[in-house]
Amino acid sequence: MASICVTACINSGRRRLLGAMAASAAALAMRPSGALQAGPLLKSIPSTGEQIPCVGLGTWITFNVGNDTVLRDECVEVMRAFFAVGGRLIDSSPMYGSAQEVVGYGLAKLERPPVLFSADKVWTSGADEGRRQVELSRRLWGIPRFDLLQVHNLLSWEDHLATLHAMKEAGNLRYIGITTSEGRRHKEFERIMATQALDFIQVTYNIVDREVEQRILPLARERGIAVIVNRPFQQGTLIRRLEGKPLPEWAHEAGARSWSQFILKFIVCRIPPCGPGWRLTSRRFDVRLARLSAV
Amino acid sequence: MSAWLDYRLSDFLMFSPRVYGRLLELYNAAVWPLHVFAVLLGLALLVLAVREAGNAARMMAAILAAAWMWVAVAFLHQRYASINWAAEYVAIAFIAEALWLLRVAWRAPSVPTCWKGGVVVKRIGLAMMLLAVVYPLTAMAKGRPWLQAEFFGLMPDPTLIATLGALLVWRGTFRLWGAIVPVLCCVASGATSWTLDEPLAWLAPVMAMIASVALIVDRLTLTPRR
Repeated sequence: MASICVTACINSGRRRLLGAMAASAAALAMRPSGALQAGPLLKSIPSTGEQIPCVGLGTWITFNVGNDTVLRDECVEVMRAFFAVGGRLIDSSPMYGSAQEVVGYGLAKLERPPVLFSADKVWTSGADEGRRQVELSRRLWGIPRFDLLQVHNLLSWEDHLATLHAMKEAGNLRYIGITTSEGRRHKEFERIMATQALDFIQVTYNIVDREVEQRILPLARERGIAVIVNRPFQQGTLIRRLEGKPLPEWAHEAGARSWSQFILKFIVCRIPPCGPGWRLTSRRFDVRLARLSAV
Repeated sequence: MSAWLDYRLSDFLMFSPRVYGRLLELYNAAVWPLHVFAVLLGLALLVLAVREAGNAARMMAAILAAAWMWVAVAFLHQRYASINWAAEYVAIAFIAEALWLLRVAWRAPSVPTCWKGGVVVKRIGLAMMLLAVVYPLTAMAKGRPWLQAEFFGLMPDPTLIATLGALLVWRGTFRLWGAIVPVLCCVASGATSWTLDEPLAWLAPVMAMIASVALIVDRLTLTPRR
């Protein structure tokens, strides 16, 4: 089985984040087997069974605000709102400019919420440089260790996976993953998924970019690898295209009250684990998705 | 290397237009009132370019070297690098250009300006230098508030354009070496503006293209005058 976490980049800040988390909660409300329960939808990490909320907080662009204290404090409010509605996973990367530092700033302001599930990446060439980068990232976050470290866009993945496995064995890391985005190097990505011990993969997946449905998502299911989805809104492009257009009635049936909720709902519904009701919702999306092309 | 080829231009845009605008605003507030001095320097550069006095080229090169060094340290390294790690590398390129300009300033007596040959090229150069001085006005066209205006000597783009203008005003084959960094930086700046969806994103690359063509044509068709 594959689990999922969507790291939504919250371009419009707090409002969209809360909407995303609300979509997650709405999705939970539709579960046929269970009664309503408080908090966001949880999904399991296959390698341990640990449950995490299925909507996470991405930091690409949105958290890269430099030393601007006004914008940093806005990011803190987003993080505060995220944790307040039950969010846990925050994902960043050394590639994202000042994002790691801003996350660390926010965590310090929020007194380091114990529920945090910290996900970061290593993005450099060579094992030694990778180790140095991971340590620098940890210090920027201001945490004792990361929950998840991923090899960003497969850069020097052989070197870094060896380092990450050693860290995991030493108890300095809980989960290991690899990432790609925008459909880059999918063949090599599949090969690594098939041959290496991984807890997570991270790929681009949304209502338009669906290439991963062909091979990568089935392989993740087969290998028991959790899936983190990036670019759920195509960096805001999807939202901008749909802005001002009325949400179809059947989207309300699926538990979405806005386009951003609808887009996240699509992703959450498409990836197991899910009960019969989820599959039904998924089929509804499939049947009616063609209508979106007219939008 | 192949890993880098996987990336698209937009993948390197790691900040939002709002964050960049705020960065300009805070930088301008921090360096005020240097803007007045910067405008005066830009005008001085223009006046020196029009004159044919022996010290004109020396002084122009010294002013430009100071501008490049200031932009490298005060803007690229201390400000822009906080949201764009690539700015550190650009800062190094700016320092290299500043050192090259210092060398030109040192050798200035052999770097004359000339109205008589390549008049058209020189006029293009003067026009570029004038554009660099009035560059803050482009804030209006870009839909930015005045607090985010870009000034010669304080920000990269007008400094790049002024330098290209000076290179067209000067004479000699050495100018081609000095054009490499400004031309590349103009292209990079245009690419960044384009991914930010800014109006006038074409301005710096077009200036770089005009300067490149003018320098090459000037090199091929005219004999340097002394």
